[in-house]
Amino acid sequence: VRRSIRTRLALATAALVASSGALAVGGVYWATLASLRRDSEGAARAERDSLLASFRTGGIDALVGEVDRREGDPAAEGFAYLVAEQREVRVAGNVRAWPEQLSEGSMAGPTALEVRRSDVWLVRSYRLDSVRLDGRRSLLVGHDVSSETPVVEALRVTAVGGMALSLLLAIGAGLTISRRLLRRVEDMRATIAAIRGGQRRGRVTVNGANDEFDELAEQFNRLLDENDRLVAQVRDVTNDVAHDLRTPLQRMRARLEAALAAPSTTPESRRVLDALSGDTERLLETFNGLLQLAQLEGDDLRRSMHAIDVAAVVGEVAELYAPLAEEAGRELRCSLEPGLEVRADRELLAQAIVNLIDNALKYGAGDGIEVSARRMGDGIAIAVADHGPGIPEEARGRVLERLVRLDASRGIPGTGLGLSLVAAVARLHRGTIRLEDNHPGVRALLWVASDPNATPPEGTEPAAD
Amino acid sequence: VLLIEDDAVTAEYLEGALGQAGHAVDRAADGLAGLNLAMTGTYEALVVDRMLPSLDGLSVIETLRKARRDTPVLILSALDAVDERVRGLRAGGDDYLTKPFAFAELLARLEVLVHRRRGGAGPATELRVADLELDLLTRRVRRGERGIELKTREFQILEVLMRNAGRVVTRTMLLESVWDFHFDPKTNVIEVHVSRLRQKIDKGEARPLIHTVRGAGYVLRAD
Repeated sequence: VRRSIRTRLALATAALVASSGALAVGGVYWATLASLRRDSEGAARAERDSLLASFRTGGIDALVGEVDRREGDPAAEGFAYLVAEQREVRVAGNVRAWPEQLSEGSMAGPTALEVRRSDVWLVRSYRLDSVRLDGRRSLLVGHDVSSETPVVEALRVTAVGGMALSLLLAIGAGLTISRRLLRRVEDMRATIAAIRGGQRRGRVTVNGANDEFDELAEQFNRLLDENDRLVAQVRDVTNDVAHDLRTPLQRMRARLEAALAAPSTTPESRRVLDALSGDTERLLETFNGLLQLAQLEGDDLRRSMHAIDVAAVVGEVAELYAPLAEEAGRELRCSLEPGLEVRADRELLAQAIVNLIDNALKYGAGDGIEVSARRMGDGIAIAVADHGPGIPEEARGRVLERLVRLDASRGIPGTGLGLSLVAAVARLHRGTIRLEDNHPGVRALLWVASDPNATPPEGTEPAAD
Repeated sequence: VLLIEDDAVTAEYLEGALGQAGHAVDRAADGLAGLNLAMTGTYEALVVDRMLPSLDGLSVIETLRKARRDTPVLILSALDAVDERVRGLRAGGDDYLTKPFAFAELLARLEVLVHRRRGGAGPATELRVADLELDLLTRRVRRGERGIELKTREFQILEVLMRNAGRVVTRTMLLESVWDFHFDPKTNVIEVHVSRLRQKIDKGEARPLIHTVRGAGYVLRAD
């Protein structure tokens, strides 16, 4: 659909230019023909009137004399004359017979007449005018239109040639104009793609033409600047909050550790301090999780993306967790397609897989967890599947939100940030996260794009946060 | 040890705790004072906060490195973005610890740095602690007369523990040096790996070598 704009634009421009060209050429053609006709009719009428004048002054004899004279006159060569009685009898003139379809006193367009020229009868096309002279006799004057033919012919060739030429020019113009216009659009599209691909500094070219496209480009660039400013602001705030909260948290931890280590602390206080330490640990876990999510949103991490082998990372994480799964009576089964290279942040990807396996261990049941990595569409799909009670369909979107924990998992320790991190990691890699029914259990599908313009496979939504 | 930290409460606690662990501590509360001390004194290691008044922690390290002072540096930071870590190490830091941290973690990392500085971890091809031997070339492990079959990761864990024999190695240190992952997995994944290794090394032996240090990590020790 996108490509057809160029064709449509080119065709529309071509049609417009061609039809206006045709109108102009056609107009000239018809105007010329009309003018030729008018001249010819005028000439016939003038000839008729002058002959009529001779008739009025000198009667039929004068008219016949005049007709005879003009027949021989080279200046009147383009004319044909006939003075006839009752249309039947030729009194004078060089036309053999009164044309059947012409009534006396009327005009006619080009009509074939047999005319005598230097004692030879020829058939030619004449424009006719006639007049009744008296009750019996009529006068016919014809003006030779064959003299018009070369002009008309030339005109026709010019018209057809001109139309063809203007059509060619129109198509050329249409293509050029649409290419020019679309080049600016294409420039913007490429810039957006580059920015989405991580080149945040990219801007659309303003070429100084001061036209609507420049205006659009400027507005667009302003929008990008504003966006950059907001991202930087969020990052600054996040860093400030991180620093401002980490120092008191560090003190709190230090004081707790010191109090626990002090010999004077009573066993009862020690129990309280131990509980406090545990609370602090959980507080820190949630704090660090939220902070990391905020930083991922701030999205300055694309710098740390390198070409890595996803299968290797999945394999390493699976191997890290295999003994733990075994202790829990589960088997971690791994199926990896080799050579799955993609630009990614190894650390974040590993952390996302850790969170998925962690969830499968916490909430799954049955004897195994299946971990796989394979090519899917324009990217790589990492799946972690368990055989637990699963997640009700209506809750699948909600569990990706931060701090959301389902009632069923209240008894199990956790921060409610694990899947939010997976979703954020997916988004950073232009990927998706999907939770499916594993009949029974959950199958988490993390998809990461292998190139910046890749489209997610069917049925997966871009990861939202 | 020189501690450059602007938060008085944290600095005081660290000074006390490091003192108890047998380290003499000098303290500086801002970057310039810290840099002066580091340039004039002799220290086994520096603990430097990333954000400091007067002179930023990274600048302190860069200045030191330009002056060819190669005292090991442990960076403390309230920033934990991945590239912050990378930037810290690139500036010349030797290790990076995100606030808030447990003292045991700091102590373990500091002692490993100090030991490495003393040239403890030379290019040995064979490691030996008591009757436990590890050959890095043939990748064979023996305990006395008994040959021990280890999986790749178990071998790597044992190597780290043996190189740091007598010093505590924390779980995150193991995760970093064996798996090259720099996040906190929260679950007891590392414990399970170590307990499997311990089964193979210590089972049936009169004197266990791998010990758990509560709230800190593991230590491989002959006694």
